[in-house]
Amino acid sequence: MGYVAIKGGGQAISGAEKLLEFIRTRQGETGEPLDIETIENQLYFLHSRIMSEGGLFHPKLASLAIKQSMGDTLEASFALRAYRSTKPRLIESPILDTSNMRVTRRISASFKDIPGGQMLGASTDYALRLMRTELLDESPDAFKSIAGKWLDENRYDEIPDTFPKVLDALRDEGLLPPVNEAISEQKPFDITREPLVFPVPRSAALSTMARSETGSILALAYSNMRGYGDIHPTVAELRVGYLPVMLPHPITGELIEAGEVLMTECEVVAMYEDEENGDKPSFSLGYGACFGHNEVKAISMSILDRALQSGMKNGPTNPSEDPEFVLLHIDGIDSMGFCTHYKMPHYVTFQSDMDRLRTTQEKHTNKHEEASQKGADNV
Amino acid sequence: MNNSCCKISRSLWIRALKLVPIDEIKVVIDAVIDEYEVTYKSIPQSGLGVLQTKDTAMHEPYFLGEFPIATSWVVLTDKENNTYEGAAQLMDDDENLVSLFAVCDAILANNLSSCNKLSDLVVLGEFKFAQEVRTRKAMLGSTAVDFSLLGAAEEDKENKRA
Repeated sequence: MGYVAIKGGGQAISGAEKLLEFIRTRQGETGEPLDIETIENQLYFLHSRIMSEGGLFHPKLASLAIKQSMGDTLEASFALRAYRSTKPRLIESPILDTSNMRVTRRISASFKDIPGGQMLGASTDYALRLMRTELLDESPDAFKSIAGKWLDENRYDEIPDTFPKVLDALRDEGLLPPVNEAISEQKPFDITREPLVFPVPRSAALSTMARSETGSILALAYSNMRGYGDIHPTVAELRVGYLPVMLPHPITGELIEAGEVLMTECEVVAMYEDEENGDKPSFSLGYGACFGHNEVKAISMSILDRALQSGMKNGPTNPSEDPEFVLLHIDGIDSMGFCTHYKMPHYVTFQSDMDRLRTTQEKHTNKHEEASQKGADNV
Repeated sequence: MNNSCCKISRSLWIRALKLVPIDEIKVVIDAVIDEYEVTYKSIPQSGLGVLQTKDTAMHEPYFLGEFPIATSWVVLTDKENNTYEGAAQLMDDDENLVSLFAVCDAILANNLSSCNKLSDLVVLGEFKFAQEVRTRKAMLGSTAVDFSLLGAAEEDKENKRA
């Protein structure tokens, strides 16, 4: 059978789009459309995830993306990523120092008495994973009163505006490798402008992991945690907060605050290694960060950062140390696109597969018939 | 030289104005804008910025991701042909909004008429920002971990029982 060009399906595609809209609105008169601010606040962690996986800190459009994709994280991130691809790049921020973060949570698994103290912030870490059935029929009046009551009951004006980094204290004690000033002067790799052609610098790996899909980066980091690797990390500091985005004033050049981004940041301390070049042994480090509040992603990224450093230096000994394996398999939009493309018509390639199989089967049958014939002749 | 009527630093004007209801800013600007011819020194634009930071482990710079940015640079010319410049960059897509803020910047920076009214709005915005800061501090303060040694905690319990 030869190649047959086909057309049609337009009506079905249009019908499918309308059906999706029906599904979204089928509550009818008993339903209310989701408003953008409700998504940002009540679906806080989902909203964070979309901004980080979309690679764009745009709270309003992230909410819209969640709404139009009906909560599909991959589709929502895709919509945000597609939007960004239509916009011109106007500015590159100066290097923003995350120690200026307006922190809402900071913890350490390394010491109990970290400078500035540990503050849990909003966390599910110690929550019982039991169903809160009272939320099944939550009263709007009760809902509206909770935040106000909490604010009235909690006043802590003595808390400082910023906090020192735990790593700085360890570095002052000589337990960490010194900062390489030459590295801090390097121009970072821009993954939105250049393809990943390996080997890539660490800055490319950090950017790629910062917008990776949470489940994907967790899976690869988990492989290392379980035994396909030997990082054995300790969380030196995990913090969540708002980083002021300082940009130069067009007239004066003075840095002005154009806005702020919610972000999560994690540093892990890993096993120390004896230095081959005779330097003093010190702990090795891993770093993770992403837009929004997403601690699993930041911790996973910090473990993989440490694993990739090892792979880049000594050659990979397991998948999580292989930059090509890790960085090319953690982007949600890439992997979802490849996966879902299998749903698209493959009529021609499959026709070719069938033709090849039939020919092979025919040869197989002929060969067996010939063998049977020879056997019969020999009797 | 800073001759603004506004005592709050210019670097914080945009942050403050963003927290004020936009209609209140428009009322102030509408009342004075006819005194000036407004031209653009550069065309207002909206697009993306890329956020550059450095990892706090090795201090290596990298790009965390992108953010929306709108930018505008205006020139106000009064009836005596005096010119006053103002500009703004805002994490937003709205070119009209950023141009409005650029006009505010020109009025505040050059101490033009209605500077005091705008300055009051900047103060209001900073007050709202301070409220948000207080909320964030409450998040920390109410969840600060008060460590004590296991033995000491047990002693406390015993003292309470006694």
